[in-house]
Order: sequence, then C-alpha cells, then structure tokens
Amino acid sequence: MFMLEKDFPILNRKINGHRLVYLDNASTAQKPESVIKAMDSFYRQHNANIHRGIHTLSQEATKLYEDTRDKVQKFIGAKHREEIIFTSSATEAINLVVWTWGHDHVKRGDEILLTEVEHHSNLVPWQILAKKKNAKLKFIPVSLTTYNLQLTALRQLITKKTKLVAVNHVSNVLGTINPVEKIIRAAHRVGAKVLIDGAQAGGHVPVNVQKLDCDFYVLSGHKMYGPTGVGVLYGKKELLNEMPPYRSGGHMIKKVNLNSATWAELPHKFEAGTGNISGVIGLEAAVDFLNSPNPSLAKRGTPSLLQREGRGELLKYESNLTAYALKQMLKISGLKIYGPQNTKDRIGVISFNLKNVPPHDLASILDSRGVAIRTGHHCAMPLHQKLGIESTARISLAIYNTKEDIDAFIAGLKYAQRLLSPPRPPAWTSPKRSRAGEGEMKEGVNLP
Amino acid sequence: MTQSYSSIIKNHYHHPRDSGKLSDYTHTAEALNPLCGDETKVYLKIRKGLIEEIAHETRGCMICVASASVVSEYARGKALAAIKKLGLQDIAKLLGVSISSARTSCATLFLEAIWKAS
Repeated sequence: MFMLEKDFPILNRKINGHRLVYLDNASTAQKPESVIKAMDSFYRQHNANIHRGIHTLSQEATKLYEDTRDKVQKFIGAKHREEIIFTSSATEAINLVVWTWGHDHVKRGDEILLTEVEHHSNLVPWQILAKKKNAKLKFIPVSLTTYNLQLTALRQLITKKTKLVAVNHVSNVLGTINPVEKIIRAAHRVGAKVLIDGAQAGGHVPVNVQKLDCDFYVLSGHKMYGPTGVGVLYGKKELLNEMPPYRSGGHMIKKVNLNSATWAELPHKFEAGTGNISGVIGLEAAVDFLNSPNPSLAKRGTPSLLQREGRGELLKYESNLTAYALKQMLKISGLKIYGPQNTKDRIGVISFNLKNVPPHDLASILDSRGVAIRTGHHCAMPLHQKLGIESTARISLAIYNTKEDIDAFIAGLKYAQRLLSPPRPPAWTSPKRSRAGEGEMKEGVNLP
Repeated sequence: MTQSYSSIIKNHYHHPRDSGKLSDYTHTAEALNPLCGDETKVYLKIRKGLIEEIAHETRGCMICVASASVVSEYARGKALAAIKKLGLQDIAKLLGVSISSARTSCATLFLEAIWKAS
C-alpha cells in the first residue's frame, strides 16, 4: 500500500458494509489527517480575523494565512508571492479574470479561443463575456480517435483578433494532459494572453507557471487534498496590477472617502472581505503533504510526493496504477473508454461506458459494494455531445488508491453486467408499442 | 440507502412499453434531468378526462426508462386526475423496489412530463 490508511481517516469508513473504494477523486479528493488537523487547530488555537488586528491571535492567523501564499508560490513556481490570489474556487478564479481582464480587453469582433474539452467553468463565463462584448468564441477541436487536441488547427484558429486563449491543463473527462506549452507559445506570438485551468492538474501533474509562461493559472484546493471553498488564481504581476478589482468592500482598499476609494496593493486588491481563512490554512497543509517528506514514502527512500523536477513519485505511482486500471478495464467486453488507452500524457481520470448498463445504474450497483464513482456529463456537456453520448461513468485515481481498489471496481463492473444486462434468452420480444410481458408486471398493481 | 434492481426494472428498461410517438396526441411535454442527462417526452391522448392513449420517447438510465414504461402501461385507460396524483411511492410499487434518494429524480421524471403536458 502506497499510503497508510491512517493518513486519510475517511478510508476507514464502511460503505454499505464494504470497505470504501473511493474513485471519485476528480470531483474532490479525500483529505489527509494533516489538513483536517491544521483546520481544527486554527479554530481551536488561532481563530481571529487576518490583516486587521494588533492582538496576538490576529497576528498568528495572518501569519498562517500568508505562509500559505509563500507555499503556493513555490508549489507552482511563481516569481512573486503577490501573484497568488486566494479565491473561493477555481471557478471564481476564472470568473475573476473574465470580469476584470476580459471585460477591459475583449472588444467587439475580438476572438476568444477555447477547446472542445473545457469544463463548464472554463466555458460558460467566456460565453457570457463574448455575448456581452459581441466577441467570437473559437474552439480547438479534439480528435475522436486519439482524444488529443488537434493542434494542427492552431495556425488558423489563433489570429490577430485572438485576445485570450483559455484551456485546461488536464481534461476532467478524457484525463489527457494537454500540450499547453505549445498553445501558450502560439498565443503569445499574436500577443494573446493565456489562462490555464489547472483544476484537474493540481496535485497530479507538476506545475511551473514561469516555465509554462502562462499569464493566468487557476487551481482548485479541494481537488488537491485541500478543503473545499478555496481556489487559487495565479496571474503575472503586471497584468494583475493593471486589472480592476473583481469584488470590492473591506480589506481591498487603500483609502476610502464618501464618494471614492483607492485600491490596496496586490494581492489584497483581489481579496475583498473576510476570506476562507481556515480553508487557506488547510490548503497549506495540503501543499505540505504534496511537497514535503512523507513518512510512508520516506521509508521507500522517496522524499517527496510531487518532486519539483519532471515526473515525480506521485506521477509515477498514479501512472502505474492508471496503466493497471486501463489494462483491467480493457479486458471487459462491451466496455468503451473515452480517452487514450495508454498512459502517455494522461492521468488517472478514465471515462467509460458499459454496454447495456447505463452509467447511473452502474454507479448505484457499485455504491452498494462500497465503490464510489462519478457519472453524468462531468460538467462537460459539449464534449459529450461531440462524443455522441449523454453521459459517461468515470473513475479518477488518487495517491491512496491501490490495485486492490481497482480489483474491487472491476469485480463490481462484472457484477453489474451480470445483474443488469438483458435477460438471456430474451423473455420477450418487444415490437414498438408492445404491451407484451404483462405476466412479468404484477398484474393489477393497486395504487391508492 | 442503496438502490436495488428488480426484474421489472430490467425488463422494462431493455424492452420499454409504449415507446415511440403518438400521431393523434392531444397533449405533449418534455422533461429533462440536467444532472444525468435523462430525457423524456410524453404523448397523451386525453378524452373526457381519460387517458385513452399514451406513449413516450425516453432516453436515460434504467430507473428513468423503466418508470416511464410502467407508468405508461398503468396510466392507459385511467383518469388523468388520478395519474397526476401518483408519487414516488406509487412508482416504487410499480417497479417493485424502493427508490433511493439519489435516484428520486430519475424515477419521477416521467411524472414531471405528464404534469407539464396536462
């Protein structure tokens, strides 16, 4: 076992009498003990508002909160600490850019380039902006054979009219790691800015914003083992400096008169009101968990989950487990995977459908055996339209998942297939509008 | 509570009754479950308060399709007013299993379409 269960207390839960097999990590990851403790300890020992008070508790709370900014800065390789803005979610971080930078710079006739594989959070805000500004949305297509973005189209898609390119680092449906470096370079050649939605990448793929040279990068705290209610916006300092405030009120001001106000310096300009202090402090513990020596790993001689350079230990472990999951899944007849069938440039987010077993019903059957998966359109309806399906089932792996988890999932798939597939030989034929088979229906069920 | 599956659900999902369009319907409506993508469209031929004919086009999970199938079958020939009074428990009875809270919206989508249509 890679991780001890004591590191993640929820893994000791029994679900419907079975050991919890949690394979819904792309929705939200479970929290290590250290994250839970950090938040608990904040409320028990240090609770106070930040940046306001002279008293001891306020100083302690401020230090804990601001320490997180330093940690996140290092975690994603930002040049300046004030380039890290805490938001309530990755969604809010994207909306911040849309309604400040986007609102100021996108004009009638301009183009915003997205991809066909965006989560709704990196699509709908841009749709609203484009409509308001009479700007045009364009999309990098996805290949239905390789499931990769078709970058050959970039030359036509990025034009002098392109003001902004917004693309996910990792697809929350296909699991693909997108070639964002190439997209960023192409966008910068025409002077467009680039926002990378890293909600699915954080904690699974090493991120270095300076190397990427992206203009904005967003993270979701709760998908990288931190608490819900915390997101991160990274923006290049010069851009953030010229952007107007997103939300206004307390803390984001320098001086206020009855009829006017001036803004605080970065990062405070974008952190109006009392933020999610305990959540940010929880996020620090999550980054520590990903960054620092870990007891379970130290024993194996690997000091860090997510090493600074290249493919870290976490990536290797998750990649091996993904390979195992793909191999086992491909053995099942009638199972179709939407995404690459190898582990090259992909993470352990695997969407699939099983013939004759709708995703929702599969999820119900798996749940009865303690296996948690996600079903639906995963907030990517246009991608599902392109794939020609309404919904998929999805497993998504995390650091605490094991081969035993995959085996339990596979056994559940086979059980669901046996249980829910059409009766054989068919109990009846069913011509259109047939009323046959009433013998099977309880005759004359009396309803009140 | 976990969701159980009956042979009724299985059979009505794999062989839905009254599936298709009605050409001479008097009422029709669609209902959509955005969470999971279930879609259903009901066609009703109503005369003097009675459901003379009923059909549906339903795409979705087993619970949703089977619910549309068993309710259609049950509703034919009955008073519209009585069918509009059906609830989750009635559908559960027709399906032969209890419906878990996570699947309630799947089970009642077809009823929603009937309410909308009439």
